[in-house]
Amino acid sequence: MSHAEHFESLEKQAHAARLGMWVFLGSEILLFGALFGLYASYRAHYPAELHEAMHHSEKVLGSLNTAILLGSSALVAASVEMLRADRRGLARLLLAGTMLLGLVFLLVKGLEYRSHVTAGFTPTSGEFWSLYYTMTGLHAVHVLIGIAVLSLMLFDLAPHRLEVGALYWHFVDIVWIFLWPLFYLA
Amino acid sequence: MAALLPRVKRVSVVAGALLALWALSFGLSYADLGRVALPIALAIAVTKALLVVLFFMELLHERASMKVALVAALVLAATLIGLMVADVATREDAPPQSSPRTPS
Repeated sequence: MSHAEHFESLEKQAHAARLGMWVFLGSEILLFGALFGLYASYRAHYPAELHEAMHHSEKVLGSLNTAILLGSSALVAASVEMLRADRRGLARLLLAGTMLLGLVFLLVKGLEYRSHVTAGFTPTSGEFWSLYYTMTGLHAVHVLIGIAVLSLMLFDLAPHRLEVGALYWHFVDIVWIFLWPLFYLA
Repeated sequence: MAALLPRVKRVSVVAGALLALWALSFGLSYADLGRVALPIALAIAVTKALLVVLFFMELLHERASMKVALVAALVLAATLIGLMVADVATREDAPPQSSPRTPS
């Protein structure tokens, strides 16, 4: 596999690409970090309101979505390993599975939104709901971008490219790992 | 090629651990844990995030430059959130109650 002209080797190119993604994920951590900080201050100011509103969240659907995203992370990690071992067919299949789970996640999220709006809970229905729609909405946009990024990987399947896309996908999974307890569980 | 099986096995073991923690967190949410419910749920979330970062994102065997990038971002985020929490915790009065809420 050939490397870009301005890199001495594919190894160095791959390293630079991963480092670039990690630095970008650092900026994403700050974006979501600000919102998690806002959540903490709302929780301190309006504990009763948040607690009451959380009873209306779709706990089963949200929990199902957590399992779906965790599974998708495992699939893309397995896909990277398959590709490194040059099992391209399997890698492609696992990657397609990852994207499919991402789409299922968005579908379930859409069902949740519909159920909330039908019940009268909109982004203007109080502190909990404005944060809920903002944070899960921003996360859903990230899932959508993740699916788009992974679909680009399908066209030119190479380990040093897929591992960078996979880093982004795992990050999106981690954000949800924290959104789940804050909006559904406790 | 010979190294494939242990690598796939590792991914499966981590995936199993993640789903076990998911089930634990889901189960605990039905127990009436009161004030410790949130800290416990967050501790499980941190554990899951660590598993993903160390094994799926391969930070465990990654070069120092990536580790520095992540730690720097976490320190900055912790500063941001820490200062927000310090502000809220030391205010004398809560801000006035905002927008009217829709009846539930």
